[in-house]
Amino acid sequence: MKDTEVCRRLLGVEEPWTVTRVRIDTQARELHAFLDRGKGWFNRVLFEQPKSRWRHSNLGAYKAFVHSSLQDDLSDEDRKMPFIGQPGSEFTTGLARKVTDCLRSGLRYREVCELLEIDVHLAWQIRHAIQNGLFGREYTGLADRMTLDSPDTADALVPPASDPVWQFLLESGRMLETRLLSLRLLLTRARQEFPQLEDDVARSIRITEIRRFFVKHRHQLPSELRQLRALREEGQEAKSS
Amino acid sequence: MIRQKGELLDFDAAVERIRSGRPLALAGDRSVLADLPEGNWVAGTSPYFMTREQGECRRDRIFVQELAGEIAGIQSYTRDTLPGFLEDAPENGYTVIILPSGTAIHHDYAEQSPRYPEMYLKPVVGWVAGVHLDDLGREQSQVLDGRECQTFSDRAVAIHLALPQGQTAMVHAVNLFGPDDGPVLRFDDTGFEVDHCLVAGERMRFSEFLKNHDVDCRRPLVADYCGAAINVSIQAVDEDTGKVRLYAPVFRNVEYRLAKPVDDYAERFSSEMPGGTGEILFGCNCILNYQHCGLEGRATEGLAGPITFGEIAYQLLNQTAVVLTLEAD
Repeated sequence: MKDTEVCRRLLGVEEPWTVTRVRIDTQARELHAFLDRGKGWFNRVLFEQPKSRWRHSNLGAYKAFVHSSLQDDLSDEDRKMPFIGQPGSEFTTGLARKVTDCLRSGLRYREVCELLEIDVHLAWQIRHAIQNGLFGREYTGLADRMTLDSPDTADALVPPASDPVWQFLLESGRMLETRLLSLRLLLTRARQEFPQLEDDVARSIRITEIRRFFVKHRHQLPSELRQLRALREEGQEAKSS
Repeated sequence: MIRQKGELLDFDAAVERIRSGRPLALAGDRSVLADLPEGNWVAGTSPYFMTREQGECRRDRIFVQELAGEIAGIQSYTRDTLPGFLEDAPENGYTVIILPSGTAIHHDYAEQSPRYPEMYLKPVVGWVAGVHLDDLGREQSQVLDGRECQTFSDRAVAIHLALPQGQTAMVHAVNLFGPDDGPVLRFDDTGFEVDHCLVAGERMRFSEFLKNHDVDCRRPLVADYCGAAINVSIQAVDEDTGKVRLYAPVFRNVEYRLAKPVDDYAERFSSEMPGGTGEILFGCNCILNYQHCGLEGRATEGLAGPITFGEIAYQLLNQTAVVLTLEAD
């Protein structure tokens, strides 16, 4: 059996979805599955379509990540598939569901994070989504429990993708002083593209990428994170005045 | 000064390095690369090098850069698969990629790589392979995949390396050129060949602008990417069509200015090298800096590596030195 087929079964991926490629990162203990829907394009990578990357439940000792582009014509049913997530989010619906199941069975929030190997940044995103009604209003109480269990450490964290600071960063033209070439280029590309992106999905994918950069390099970016917080306050003040 | 491991070796010493099994990025003339044994290496053709002592052209030597980390893959990419090359890279690590100059895959990378998946999220450095300047138009640059000693003129080769937790690869572009005080230039389309441009908002032929302002074409165009100066070098003006050929594409919706001349490149170079204590894993510098700034016989303190026909620090750069350092978190 091909590795893509094994992966398809482990992830519970069903037609018309297919696993086109699998990459194992042994050093980081990560499995990356690349999904397509409908007819694939053989080995051709269609880079023009913005691609999302979601953390899924672990497969054995490996953290699983799913990569795919979501077409506009997806039905609501398709969008709820457990092995994918919302375009601007960083986790699959299946992982968020697992978090709520664990919480409902009595585990504390921190225990759930440890059990599922979710870091504080991702946990915060999931909590935020549940709070905003990902699974309906009856689950918002769970999110409140998560808040009590894990006091809000927003100042120490990278703001969630839904925070207006990201849009403000990309649209206001404000400079972010940084020595990292990668961040300079990433911001330049996003600022060039942002006004031309017609739909919110493409914009949220770009914001998620920038946020992912900040999470990944947070230890090297204390000054940039301070600037981001200042920008956030500035944006809030501008909005309220 | 930061420690650097890259060095120019004779054939036998290079073979010995390959037999050690360690991951390597190699550069040399096609005649000397052709006989290398299989191993964990990628290579591209160029007979020009910066050693610790000086810039030199040698057809009988191989520049060997030993890379750190665990090999996550050595791969060749076609035009169809290249856009996904960073999806093969590990989450914590880096990639060294080499492209053959003047080919469709080189142009694809130059124009499209800023939009590739995972671009800027995973460190990538590399270079564009070339040929001896005496062989321009007669020989084709090549890249090699060392696993089976395959040679390509229409593919890119890449080596992906994973780093342990606590280590990060950092990409630096060392660019001595900065924008002058002249007018802002914009271009209608993304591409390697330019006909018209907007000069401070006024449309005119780019070749006329260069002629009217008596521009020394050794000065690149410079764009400001959130504080990073990114060059595009001018290759030639086509006398028949009046179009201007470039060594990298200009991008639509980006503002450019001509660069200020650089007085003494070799002298100024060390002050522009990245600070910090990280070990240099990879370096390269541009053939145009080698030619125009008189680097033959002179050293660029702190940086050794192949002299290349385009440099890659995420995207394609011109007239820039690229450095990859290994840093502790």
